[in-house]
Amino acid sequence: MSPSIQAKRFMAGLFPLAGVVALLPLVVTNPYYLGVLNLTALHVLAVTGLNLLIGFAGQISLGHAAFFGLGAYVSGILSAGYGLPPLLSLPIAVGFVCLVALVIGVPVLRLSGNYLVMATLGFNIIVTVLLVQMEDVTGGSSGYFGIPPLSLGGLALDTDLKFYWLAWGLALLGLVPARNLAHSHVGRGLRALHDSPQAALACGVPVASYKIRIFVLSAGYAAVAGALYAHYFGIVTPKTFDIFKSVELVTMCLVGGMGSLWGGLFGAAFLTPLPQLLHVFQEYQDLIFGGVLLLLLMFLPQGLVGRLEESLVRRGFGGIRPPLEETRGSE
Amino acid sequence: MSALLDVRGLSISFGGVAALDSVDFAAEAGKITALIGPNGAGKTTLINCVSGFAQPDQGQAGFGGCALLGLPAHRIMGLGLARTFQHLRMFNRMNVLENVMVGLHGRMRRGFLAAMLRFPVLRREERALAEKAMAVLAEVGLARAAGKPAGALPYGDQKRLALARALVSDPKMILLDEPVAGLNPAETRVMADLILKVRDRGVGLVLVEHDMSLVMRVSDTVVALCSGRTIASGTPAEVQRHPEVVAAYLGGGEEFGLCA
Amino acid sequence: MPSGSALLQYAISGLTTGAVYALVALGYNLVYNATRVVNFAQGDFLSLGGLIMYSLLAAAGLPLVPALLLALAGAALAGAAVERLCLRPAKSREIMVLIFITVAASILLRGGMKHLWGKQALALPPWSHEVPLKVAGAAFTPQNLWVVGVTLLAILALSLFFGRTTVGKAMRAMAANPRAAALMGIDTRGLATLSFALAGGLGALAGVLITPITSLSYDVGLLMGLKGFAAAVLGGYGCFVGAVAGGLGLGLMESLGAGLLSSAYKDVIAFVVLLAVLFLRPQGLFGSKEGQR
Ligand SMILES: Nc1ncnc2c1ncn2[C@@H]1O[C@H](COP(=O)(O)OP(=O)(O)O)[C@@H](O)[C@H]1O
Ligand SMILES: [Mg+2]
Repeated sequence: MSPSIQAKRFMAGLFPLAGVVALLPLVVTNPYYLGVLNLTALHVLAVTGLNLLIGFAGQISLGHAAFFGLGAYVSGILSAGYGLPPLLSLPIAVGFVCLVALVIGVPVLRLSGNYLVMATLGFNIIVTVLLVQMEDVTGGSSGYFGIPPLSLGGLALDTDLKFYWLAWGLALLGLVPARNLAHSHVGRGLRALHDSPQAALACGVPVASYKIRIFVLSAGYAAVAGALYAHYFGIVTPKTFDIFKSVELVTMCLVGGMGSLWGGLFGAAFLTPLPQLLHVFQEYQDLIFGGVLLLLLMFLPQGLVGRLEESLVRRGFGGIRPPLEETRGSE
Repeated sequence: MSALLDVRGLSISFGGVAALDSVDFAAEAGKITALIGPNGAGKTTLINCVSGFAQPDQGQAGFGGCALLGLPAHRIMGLGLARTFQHLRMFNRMNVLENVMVGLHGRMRRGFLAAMLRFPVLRREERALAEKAMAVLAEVGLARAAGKPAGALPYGDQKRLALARALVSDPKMILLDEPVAGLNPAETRVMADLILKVRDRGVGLVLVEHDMSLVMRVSDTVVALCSGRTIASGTPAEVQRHPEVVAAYLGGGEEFGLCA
Repeated sequence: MPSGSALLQYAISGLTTGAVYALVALGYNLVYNATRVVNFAQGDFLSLGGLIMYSLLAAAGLPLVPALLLALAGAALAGAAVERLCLRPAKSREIMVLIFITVAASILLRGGMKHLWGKQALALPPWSHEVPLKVAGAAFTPQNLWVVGVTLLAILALSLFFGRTTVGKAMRAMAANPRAAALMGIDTRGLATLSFALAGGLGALAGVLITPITSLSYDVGLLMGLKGFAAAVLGGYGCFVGAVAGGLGLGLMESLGAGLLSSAYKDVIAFVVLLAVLFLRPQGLFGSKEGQR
């Protein structure tokens, strides 16, 4: 299948989705549910980047909540503490996080397997402790308050609905460069180094630098999501960005379908509201959440979207996945 | 005139054990240079050193006048020196065509930003890449498998796919690490014909092989390695008659036995 | 400059937690060597062991030793269940998916424990009297001795198991080369279950040893589990000696870091050192580099 057909298919999926996103606020008017939807959009952004790293390049990071959190804290502190307009503090925060990711990524990405998992996990733990301990700057464990909302040319995005348009707009927009990358020679190089770093090198893929670039890029996505988070909720706490958040983000990739950008979207859209929905079960909430997750991973390892696509293909419809999944079943 | 690939005094040791001990090796453009020797002789290590996968302790390696040692592996292929692996190392999650397209990665000049923004020039390049890859697949007889997952191909086809992946970048020389190991006689014949065809195009080949009848048939020069040292080099007939090489054959079977 | 007795004090508490990390790390390694999976439920075995022990002692009124053995058996059963009920029936063999199945199992286990034992902190009595002992100005409790002593015994038992018994040797063969082991007729599936059971037992042992000192709740194993993972990585993942050295090293580092530098930053110190070690030796202290051919 030629790349341009793939591109058209992706766009064919994007437009209906944008339609759904546009219509949802007509149905969902309760601010609490809008809030959940907004959080979902931020997760979609973070997961899109993470998916490029994990699903395509095969580099596991259990530290992305740290980038998410750093983005949130830096943009929050710069705007609330130093009076920078959020529109300026946000890109600065993203740039800062990318720099941190670069500095961390150069040594860390030499590691593989469990060592990489541990190193990223360790990085996240360090960041969480620092956020708690550097009380003067970060407000400590009770968090940092009073972060102003984003405003675009005088229009403050201070309601759930206004933020909804921005968050989902960016979440969907963020899919486009990710998709472009996935379908390009760079995406192919990333998948190649996932399967065999040696063979990728022998083919001229600059493996080390690709790993670092995709790590930085994915950290950037997380930072954008984090900064938006800070300006939406107005408060950030260290607990929001601990290793469990990292695990949650990776789980979203997996449950949706690793290496499928749509999958990441659906994983986030499924797992973000799930705990809220399970609230009615009260003390059984964790049990049910763990159980659902377990069953999904056990019996739908290709993810929700992967499963959906397999049945679509079987019925003669085209796929909506990048080429990675078209060659699945080869392991 | 010096050879295209010129290796002098290459030494490397792993944990105190010398895998290569001051090895000289040369391979010319448009010729097949076989590298033979028992298992553990250091053949793969020599290829690894030359292709940037291992850093030798001592020695020099030049390719067309360019110093190879110290260059990162992905740059070396850009100089026109490609390689295959003893163990296939296919990109199993990709289809056959994409595997070959990765072989052209070194040609692509644009990076992440251009790819994310989907520069129009990339679309053209991508199309050209696919066409070139298809042509090479046709050459190795895998055109019909282009859309299949690489891992699903039979072993023999994967060996040819590995050759295609190295061949697609129009290298000046290919280092082939045991290209017919595990192939049946018919597949071996096909591979041998392919190798000769590539040679006739002016591409130099370094052929690491245990299949002596193939080596004797196709090689222009044979170098015999044993315990990290060159024990003989010359025409196939000369090397075959060399006393140390003869001694290295135990029972005179298909393969080398232990070193003398 | 801290006094000698203070240093000794830090060393004692470091060795105690370090011993626990070592036990947890050994559990990680057992599972990894048999299945290549990082078992993120490892820390929950620690909580589970402590909680079962608590119920048997407090509610059922059992004496120490039977309660201890039953607690280990219970956690071993839970470990075996994770392998048999969660990992083995899973449709995918991809390591990434299997690892996150253990994450889900961990959430499930924690949910179950929270449901059964509640959220509040429980107090597990120490194994013997609580009168502190004093040596060279440093105070420690008999429980410190229990932790270190029993850990040493467990390590000895494990090394005898791997060195002398057929099953232990089979497990080593499987760790070195699973495919060859399977071809030689070794029951790799059975050993996978066994390794999870042993890991469960080791985790529980760590739990019943340390929770009288720390405290006991359904999620006490979470952080301990992560530290054990860090210890395994520090020593070289999958390496027996590495787990012990990594555990003790991490425990000492933490306690000395907390005592000499800053207790608030003790985790930072431990993980920064861990990262530094990994940067210098990407395969861990005792791990061997996988050669590329
Ligand atoms: N990465 C490595 N680490 C340790 N030893 C190695 C490594 N690569 C090769 N060797 C050793 O070097 C020697 C030569 O190996 P190799 O080049 O693979 O032999 P051949 O390809 O001729 O069979 C062998 O003894 C092998 O064990
Ligand atoms: Mg070899």
